Amino acid sequence: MKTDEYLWDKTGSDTEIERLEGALAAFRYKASDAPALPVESNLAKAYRAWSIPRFAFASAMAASFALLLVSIGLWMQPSTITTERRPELAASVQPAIDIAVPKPPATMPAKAVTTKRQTVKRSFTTWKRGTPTIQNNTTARLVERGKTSPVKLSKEELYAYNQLMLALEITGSKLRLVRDRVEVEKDPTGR
Amino acid sequence: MPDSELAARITFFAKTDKAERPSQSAEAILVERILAGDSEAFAELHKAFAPLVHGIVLARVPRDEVDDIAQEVFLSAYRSLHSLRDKSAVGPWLAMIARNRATEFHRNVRPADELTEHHSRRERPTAEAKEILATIRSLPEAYGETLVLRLVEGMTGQEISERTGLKPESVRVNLSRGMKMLRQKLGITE
Repeated sequence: MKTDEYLWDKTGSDTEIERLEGALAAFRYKASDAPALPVESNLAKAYRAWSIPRFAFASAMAASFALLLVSIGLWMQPSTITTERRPELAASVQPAIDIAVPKPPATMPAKAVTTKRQTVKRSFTTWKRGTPTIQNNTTARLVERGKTSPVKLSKEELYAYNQLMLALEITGSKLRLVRDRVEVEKDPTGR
Repeated sequence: MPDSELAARITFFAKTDKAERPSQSAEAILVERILAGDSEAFAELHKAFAPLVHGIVLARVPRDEVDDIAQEVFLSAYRSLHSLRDKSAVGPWLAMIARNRATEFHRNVRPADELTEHHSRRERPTAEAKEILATIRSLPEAYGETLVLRLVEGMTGQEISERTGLKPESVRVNLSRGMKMLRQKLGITE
């Protein structure tokens, strides 16, 4: 009786199976080279090489966008601005123009001017360059109520003040444009 | 479905435990090297598993198509090698790709494809060899595949088990029952 040992591990002998093996040898795998690797492998390498700078660029873009969002957010929320005036400068200049500002409270430092920035509904129909600023409006109202005292500024201070106001107006107008653009993109219908 | 065929299918899909395959770490290292871009490692993989893929495909498709399909199997494996979770099971994975490719071939096969066999540049098999191979192909898939790997590719039962991921007992059963059916169909008396 035949066993399956030759069929399993080629030990022993089985003439019939050996005959089948011999006949089927023509179909046996002939050693050949491995297929040429696809072009994608080179592309993959190129992709890997490009992926690092691409990641850095994407990170930089994301950081810039985040910074822009933070800037807009800070601009849109009310804030307190404290300005320290240099005492030696104030003492060395002659008062030239009187501008009424609110009197500081008794508890505040004598040489610090603190103004509260207010949030006001703005519209392009009423806003234009050269109109009095919010602070000036507030100051005017306070002067009318008799709660302010005039602060005298020298020419240099006045020039610096005007330059600062001009810069703030320009910055504000740019930020308003950004905000309106964002609002339009959020709600194209304008409702 | 006959009982023998049902039994064949059951044993065909019975997988081995991972611990039973000896050179699994070597296979995993080979795969890692390929993933790292080592083209020589891919050549080693091809050399080690080409007979397995060739045999599996030969058990299912016409001879002239076997080489092309086997190449496609390796290219397909190369492209999706990163998706192989168990890197030590690259043999069973290649076997599965080869079976799927063969099935895909029959799905898209043209009627004239079988006629191209005589145009082969290879050693021309005898009529008897063609008849034997055709008979093996007519057996249940599990028996036919195992017999081709044993009789055509010359693997031992243990090698078939290691490379396909089948349990050694399943391979032994497939070989024994397949051989018995082959003898009957060929009219060979024991």
